[in-house]
Amino acid sequence: MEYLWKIVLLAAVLFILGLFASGLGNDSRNIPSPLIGRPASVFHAPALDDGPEISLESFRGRWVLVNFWGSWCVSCRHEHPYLLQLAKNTAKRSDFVMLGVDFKDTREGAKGFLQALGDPGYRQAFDPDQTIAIDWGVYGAPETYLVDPQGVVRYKQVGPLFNGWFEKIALPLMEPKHENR
Amino acid sequence: MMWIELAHFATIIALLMAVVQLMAPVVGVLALRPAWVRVGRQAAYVVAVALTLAVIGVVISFLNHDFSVKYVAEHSSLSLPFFYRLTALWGGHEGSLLFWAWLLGLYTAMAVWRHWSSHPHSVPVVLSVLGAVITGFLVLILFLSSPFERLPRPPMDGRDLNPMLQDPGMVFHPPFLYMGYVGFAIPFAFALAALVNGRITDEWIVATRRWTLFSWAMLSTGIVFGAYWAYHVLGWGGYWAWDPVENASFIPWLVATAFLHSNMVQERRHMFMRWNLFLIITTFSLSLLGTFLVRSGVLSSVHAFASDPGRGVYILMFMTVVLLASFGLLVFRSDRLKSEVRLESLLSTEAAFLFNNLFLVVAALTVLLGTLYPLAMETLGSAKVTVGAPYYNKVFVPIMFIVLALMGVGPMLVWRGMQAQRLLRAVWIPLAGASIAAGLAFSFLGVRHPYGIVCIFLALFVAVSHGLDWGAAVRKKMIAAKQGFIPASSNLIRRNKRRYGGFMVHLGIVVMTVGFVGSGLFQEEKELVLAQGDFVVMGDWRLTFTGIHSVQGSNWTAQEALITAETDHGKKITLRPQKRVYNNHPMPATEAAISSHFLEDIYVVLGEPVSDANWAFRLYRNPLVSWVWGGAEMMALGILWSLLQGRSFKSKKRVDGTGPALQVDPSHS
Amino acid sequence: MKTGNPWIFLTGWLLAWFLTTLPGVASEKMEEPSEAMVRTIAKSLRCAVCQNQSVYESNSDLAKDMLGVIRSKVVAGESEYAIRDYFFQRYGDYIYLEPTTQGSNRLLWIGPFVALLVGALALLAALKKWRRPSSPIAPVTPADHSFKERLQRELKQIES
Repeated sequence: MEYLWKIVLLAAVLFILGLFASGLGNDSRNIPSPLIGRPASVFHAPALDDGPEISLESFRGRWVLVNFWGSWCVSCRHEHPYLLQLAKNTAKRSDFVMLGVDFKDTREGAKGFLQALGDPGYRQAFDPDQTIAIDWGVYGAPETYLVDPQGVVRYKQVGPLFNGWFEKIALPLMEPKHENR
Repeated sequence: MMWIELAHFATIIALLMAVVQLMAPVVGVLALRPAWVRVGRQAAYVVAVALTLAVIGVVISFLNHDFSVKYVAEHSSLSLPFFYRLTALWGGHEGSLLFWAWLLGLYTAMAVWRHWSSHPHSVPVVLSVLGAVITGFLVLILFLSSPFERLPRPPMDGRDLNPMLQDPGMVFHPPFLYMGYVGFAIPFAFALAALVNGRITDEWIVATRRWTLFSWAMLSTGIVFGAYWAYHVLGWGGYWAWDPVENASFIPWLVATAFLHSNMVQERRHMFMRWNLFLIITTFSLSLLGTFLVRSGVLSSVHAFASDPGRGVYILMFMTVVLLASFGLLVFRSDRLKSEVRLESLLSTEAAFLFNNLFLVVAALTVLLGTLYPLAMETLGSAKVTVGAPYYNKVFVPIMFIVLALMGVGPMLVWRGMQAQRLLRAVWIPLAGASIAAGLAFSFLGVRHPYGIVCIFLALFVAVSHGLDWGAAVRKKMIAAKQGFIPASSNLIRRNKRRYGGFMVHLGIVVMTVGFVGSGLFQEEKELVLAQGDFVVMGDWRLTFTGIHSVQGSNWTAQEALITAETDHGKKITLRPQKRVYNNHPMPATEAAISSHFLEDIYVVLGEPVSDANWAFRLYRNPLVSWVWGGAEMMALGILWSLLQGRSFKSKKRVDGTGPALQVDPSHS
Repeated sequence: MKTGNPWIFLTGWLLAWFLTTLPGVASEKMEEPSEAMVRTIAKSLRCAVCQNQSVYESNSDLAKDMLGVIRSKVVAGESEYAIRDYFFQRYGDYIYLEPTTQGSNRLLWIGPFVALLVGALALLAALKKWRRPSSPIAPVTPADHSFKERLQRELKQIES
């Protein structure tokens, strides 16, 4: 009993210090998405370029990379070159398609962004009052979801996609057998 | 223009001298050379002077608009009003740390000066401990977050102070908070001295009573200023959000409150010495933790405006050293400080203080748990959880009810013990009064929330029990000294400043509690779109939107709405809520218009324009908010009053002559 | 207004009455009845981008749009539970300001009370140990006598 409080006290102090030590590296803004493994919310949204309405269901049967972005977002600027490259590299794949959702934005702003930094060529949905974004549990930009052919969310990337993201993260999910070999 | 270099140089000197202050007394004690301890003392004085110069240098750089100084360029601008330039020192991370170190330097010098001859055994250790803490801070300031850095290409104008900080509340919140945080360093150092020396005396408690009271008062005031700032600036109609940063200052406050009570037991009955050591070490550690939480970015929150992991690593290392050294000393050295504990009765002040301590410490633990739980979940379980206000309302508040109840019983109890019957006789009037008040509140004021009923009951219970005690003491005095009511009561209050200062603090808390009930449970709010000429009814008030126009401040422009508020009894006020855009900050800031009255505040926030003539508004009627501020002022006054009392009980007793030393007298606790 | 002239008073009063009842000139605005529920829900959800502020209290864009979503769902007649759950499904535990009572969160809810219980029991046990009702002046025990005698003896030895 006499020693108990000493052990408890020192353990508590060490625990709190350890907690901070491990907490220092965390990005406290990174929220894990509960949507992974669940069917993605379907949406019908106006297109950014005044084309026909975009519906997620129309992509059923293919893997869909849904990228949420906005011209107001600085990280999206950094991410953009990779998106351009990825769109080019995967253009020939019949099982993979990319889709952008421009949210909390103005048409002019978004178009200006694409004009300045290059248009990756895939379709862009326009979501000015971020109802789609909220429906997908988005809380910042850029955020990217990988949806499988059955319409189930398989992965969520918070923050910009990095070089080699597709090969490192998407491909193993898309071709699990590939991975085993 | 060389002021910042002067400040920088002074800080370097301060660091060197702080190391001397840390080392010299150690040498002096080990080698039995008192001269070395005196060297340590002189070093402490030099540290204080040098840091004062450093602070002056930074402040003058702000006043001179020296934008070649990075810190000035980032936290000021040509158009920043004078008042904010003067106080921009603590508008950012680097300056806040310097300010902290400066306060610690001043306190150290004062403590050494005051206690040099009266506490010769403690002073060397106190010097070393405080020297170590200052060294830790100065290393951080000089090497990791320097406010003295120059910019190679100075900008024409600075980036301006964060608009959220351009408010009187933010001018006063950090200094008071820091005066409290840093103040606990002195009792902490004396506690460590007691542990190092292993002397079984109550010297450190007596020496640090005033430091503790003072720091507690500053911390309380600082917290309330923070709440006041939140109320004015954040524009959501409330003042306390259980934000991690708010909690970081509240946790040490709770533990310090426990210490404040339990050190009286040591002073009077020479008991619980180890417990007191634990409490003060914890208080200061939590104060450091408060800095750490705000400054490291471990827990982000609304106003964690400076986060930097690099500094975080250093602060963590520093904390580790301080915590392990102090708690280690407590664990390994405190056995020799064991005091014999003996309670004559469970119905005694000392027993009540034990329970007060239990509940306050558990309350502190609760807030700590709620604050750290998300971090723990993230680190250990990789899940994100939010612990928000509803949690604290459900778990923390009931625990505090018990503390309030104990506060009401407090004045009826006496040291050493009393008969149960006597307590029962004393307790029934306040109980009856409180029950009647709670009943009236239920049936006439429409208080339905259980918390409301319980709070009103407890508030009345505390108020009546304190009032009765005071009344009885005045009556006794009137009879004994054959004086009238006023001279008798003023005599009484002057004779026993500690007791009646404490009463004042307790009543302040009662007043605040009533404010919490009013504003927490009876807030009325409306969110509406108004066109010019539209009016809204809030309680007795009729608020008419009469116009909107542009106004210009020295560093902002704003849309200002005019709202005329009228009551049936002819009161008429104009409220001017604004939507401000500061020149150097793109995000608009809302300036709520607040009209404070004795019973309620009218609080109006201007929202977005819906069309040309229609604007969105949020309107609040916040009952009894001014009671929260008023109660806090009472608390501060009470503490100031009890600070005035000299430190010796025994001598005072002799002078007072109201009873023999051994007789249990309720008017002297 | 001049006092004593009833006509001026009467016309003024009539004018005031006329103005306040005239539609479109000045009218009392009442809050939409659905707003109370919107507020309850928005206050229980955390704005995902700000730290520890509720959706209702935050000024951030995301919070404003979340408020919009809540409002449209309330107007569409969804229940409070359904709307809260909608956000929970998308943002997880993080979105509730009040943590759930499931899983390890139980520690959060029960912990303080367990601490209180353990503390109270320990304190009561200690009080029992410490409690020694006695007269204010402790009686001198034989041990004290012998100690005092020895002290005196030793002191004398040192002196001599």
